[in-house]
Amino acid sequence: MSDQLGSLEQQVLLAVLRLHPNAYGLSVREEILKRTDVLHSIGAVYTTLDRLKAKGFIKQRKGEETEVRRNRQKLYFVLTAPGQTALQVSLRNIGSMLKGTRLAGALT
Amino acid sequence: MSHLQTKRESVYRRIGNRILKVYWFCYGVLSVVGRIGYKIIATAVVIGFVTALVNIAVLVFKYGGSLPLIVFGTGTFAYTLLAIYPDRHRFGNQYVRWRARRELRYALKVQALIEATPGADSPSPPNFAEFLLVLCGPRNDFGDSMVGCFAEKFTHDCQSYGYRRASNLYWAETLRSLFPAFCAKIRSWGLFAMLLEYGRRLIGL
Repeated sequence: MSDQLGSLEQQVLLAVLRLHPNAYGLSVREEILKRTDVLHSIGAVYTTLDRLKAKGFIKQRKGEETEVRRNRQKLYFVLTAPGQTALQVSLRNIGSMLKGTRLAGALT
Repeated sequence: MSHLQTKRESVYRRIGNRILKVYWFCYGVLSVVGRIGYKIIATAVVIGFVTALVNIAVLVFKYGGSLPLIVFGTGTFAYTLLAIYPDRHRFGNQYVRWRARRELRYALKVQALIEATPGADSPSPPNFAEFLLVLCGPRNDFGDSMVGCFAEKFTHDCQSYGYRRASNLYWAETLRSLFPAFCAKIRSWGLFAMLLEYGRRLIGL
């Protein structure tokens, strides 16, 4: 499986990083919506999280069951060291591709 | 009465009859469709209203009019308006109050039923949509957690928008979530293998 990160994978990893240690599916989606104004479906977020877990970029821990969730457990996600490295590399790659172009300041 | 004047009156009569036909047509459409969707027929209401006014004017000022027809036509049209925009009229207010009392009685009955049923105060999401999520979602812990997230969102939507809209949003989100996964599975597994997999899950193997 490729270690390259797609756009949604980057967003999800960054959201997990921001929400540390309370990142779970719905909160990740809300965080992405708040920061980028893009509303992804819950299914898309979970598919991406599943893929990232398979790559070893995040790890999960089980949370509490609540009445609001109809007694279904929450899964909290945390970034792993390989995930952090992959995210850094991915963002650095974008930065170096932008360098020298008209959009050079877009990431700052 | 000159020949010219008679001819002009006959023209007026024909115009009046045509307008009357348009009016009755609009009234019929309003009566049938008005109950289904208020906003869609707002234009028809305006047309009906204008034609009714012209009709009355023509009948009264040119020919003296047929009083029962005018009264009946105007009355039925007013009733239609009352049914469509009840809160714009004096009599409509009474109708609104009566309807509100009826709805309040119904709400009190429902509330009493809810209080009598333990655990029924938290609304449950649409069962079939939830079933689809369980059937077609991820198999591991992710599937369970995903359905939980859907339920959490549904509860928040219920508090914000009410049950009906929350149900619609739940369905929309379900289809939005499952359709891409469904297409991807058809592409990667083939339709037959995918149906086999869903059948296997359905019987719990």
